[in-house]
Amino acid sequence: MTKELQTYRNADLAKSLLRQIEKEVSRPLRIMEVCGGHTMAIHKYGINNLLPDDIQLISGPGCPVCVTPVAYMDILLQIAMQPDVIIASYGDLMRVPGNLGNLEAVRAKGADVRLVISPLDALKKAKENPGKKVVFPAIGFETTAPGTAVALLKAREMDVDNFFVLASHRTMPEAMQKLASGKINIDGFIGPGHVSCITGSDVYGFLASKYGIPVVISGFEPIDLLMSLLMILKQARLSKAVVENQYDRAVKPAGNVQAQKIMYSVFESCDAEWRGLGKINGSGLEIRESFGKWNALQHFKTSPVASNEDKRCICGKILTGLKDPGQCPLFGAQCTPEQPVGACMVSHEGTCNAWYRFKFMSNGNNTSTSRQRRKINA
Amino acid sequence: MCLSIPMQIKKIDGDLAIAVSNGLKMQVSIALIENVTLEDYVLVHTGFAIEKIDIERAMEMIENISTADSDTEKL
Amino acid sequence: METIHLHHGSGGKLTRDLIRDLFVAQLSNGNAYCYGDSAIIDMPAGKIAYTTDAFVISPLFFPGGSIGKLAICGTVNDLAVSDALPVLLTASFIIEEGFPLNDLKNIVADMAETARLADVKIVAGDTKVVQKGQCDGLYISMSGIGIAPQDAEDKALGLWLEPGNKIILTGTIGDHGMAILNAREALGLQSELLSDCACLHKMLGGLRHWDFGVHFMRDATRGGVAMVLSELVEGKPYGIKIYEKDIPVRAEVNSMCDLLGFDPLYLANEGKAVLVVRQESAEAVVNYLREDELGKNACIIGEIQEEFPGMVVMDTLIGGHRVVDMPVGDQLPRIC
Repeated sequence: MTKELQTYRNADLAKSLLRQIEKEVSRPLRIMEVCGGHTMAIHKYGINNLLPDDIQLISGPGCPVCVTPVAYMDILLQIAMQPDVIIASYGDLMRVPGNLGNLEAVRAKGADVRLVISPLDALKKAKENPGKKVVFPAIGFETTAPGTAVALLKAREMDVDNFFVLASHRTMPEAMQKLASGKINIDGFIGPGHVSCITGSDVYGFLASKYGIPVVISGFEPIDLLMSLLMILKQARLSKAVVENQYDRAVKPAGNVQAQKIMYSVFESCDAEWRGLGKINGSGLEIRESFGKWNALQHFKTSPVASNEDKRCICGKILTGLKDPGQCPLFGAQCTPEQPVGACMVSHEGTCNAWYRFKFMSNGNNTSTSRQRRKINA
Repeated sequence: MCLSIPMQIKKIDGDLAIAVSNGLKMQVSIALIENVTLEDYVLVHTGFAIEKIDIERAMEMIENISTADSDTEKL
Repeated sequence: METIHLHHGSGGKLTRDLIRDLFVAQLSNGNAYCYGDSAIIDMPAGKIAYTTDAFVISPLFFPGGSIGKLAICGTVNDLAVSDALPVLLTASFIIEEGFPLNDLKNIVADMAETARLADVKIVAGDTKVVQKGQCDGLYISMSGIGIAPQDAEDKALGLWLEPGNKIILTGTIGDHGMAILNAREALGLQSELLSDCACLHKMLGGLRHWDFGVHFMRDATRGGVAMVLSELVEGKPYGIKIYEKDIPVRAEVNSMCDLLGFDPLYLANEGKAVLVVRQESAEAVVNYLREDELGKNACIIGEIQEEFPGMVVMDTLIGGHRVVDMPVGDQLPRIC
């Protein structure tokens, strides 16, 4: 954190914002943060238990790990077990379950799985290991996809023929459209800050105009989130629904046009499956035919794996705010953080995962959240 | 979602740059942003600068809160 | 490049030469090192603390230390936090065929230097060489003996803990975990960050000479401070509250955590301890620790409380709170 931005973690400012929030609450409201990073910040700073009881925060589908379909993991795991393959993966994917286990499990069986924090690191590994095929599982939203595109452009420029991308990028506005158009119980969206750096804030206009849901694009510091909540509450009180941009220090109305150009020079839109939400039209990015040489799907042979997904899992309903984890028959029994069944249990920030940890810590009753609530200025 | 941290550009070499944050230094790609200059603040995600940060705007936002709160206090 | 081969571990002349010219020459520290099957030692009457620890780390050399330094510090610290005065260590080496002899020499030299500075003796050792691919370079297995006070066991079990006791941390957290991660995964992050790998027994041992009411000590290694605190309250009628603003974390460790999605509370340390002390003497203990270079960033980070028994709760920077639970596995660098 740079010195200039340290103020965005200031306790006094937070108290001041919380006082304003208390005054602004006019009725019970359910607000969804679609971005996993916001969920994480909310838990990290304990924002959820500082808010008035009338405000309920719901975690949306904005965690790439959570929404990565089982079928994708099965393809990846099959590739990982092929000879002379190095999987260069973000740490996020290591424990995501497929029908065939997860990356940690195949590594234990002898697969060469290495961690990277950038697609350019994966490309570098390909150049350093000419006798191997380096496969980069590319997950993430608009924030992440342009970087993958740069790596593919570099691979073409440098004629690297042992670098492959297994793409599973997703785009956010389409998912939010699907959420908003369905049966939903949401009074406001906290918009994804870093996705919006690329897409811009204008793309969410339809949520406000067509579906009447307020949207505030937010930064990730605690002060950012409290400001954004306050902005949503103000809209709710005035019965307004517009797109506001709290994160305008980095998000422009039209976004990062250069990054968009690069992204779409390598990828094109496709329909895509989201774990928990099903198929969403135009919500995926697939590698263009002109980059087929580096597309892992074209290079490696894999076969479909019989799904053992448990139909009783209600992640889809949890992600849309229609149900609570407590209403799932698998929750806490077959589905735990160590052995996750559904998307919401996979990531530490998933709704079910957070619920489970609270339940576990408070010996089986789930009242600790409210017991721990403290009014700042009671 | 996407982890990203603010860093400051200290050196530029083609589409690569050295960015720093609190004693931490790393090479980042600036291929995704235009007109980046030394001392600019950028958001870094997976080794890429994805957007510039307007620090002045960030400070303005903070000042708006302080004023807004003192108004409510007066009421 | 000279390397270790299987004959170095076969028990013949090469083995004898390696032991004599490297291990005994470096580690015996002028003691009558025993070529027999056991070291014969004089033991004082009373209690002893006896610990064992295996060291496997990648990379073997890292900013701020090596597996050799780590092996001594780790074993000494296990004794020190058990309130024992470390006196004797033993070391076994499992070496992979083809291991560079020079690296082995440097590692053994690090052990010798660390043991000398720590005033502990290495009294016995063993060497095995395994075929290429059967181990990752070099493993070191240690044991250590220390002289312990009569009440060491009660203290180790945390029997004296009660609400109101203060939690003290002897310095910044996460230095070791981050330095190792960056070196091991070649993440390309540059900083001046060093592992905090250090022997704490002199600083912690000194606490005994004062009536400070130190009720518990534990070094915050794997699993970090979060693990130590979680274990402390597990199934107990009390809980722990800590304050995020008081937890010392270096700026570069914080930045790396933000970048990689890590929580410093779960990062490993090799030169930091968590102490639980009587409320009245907490300030005095902190002042005492701060006089030592290894404790200069010591501070009170929280207290034992009656509320939320069995849980560790942290007051966050903005005055919220969250539960600090036990880690499920290692943290991995994330993008989300």
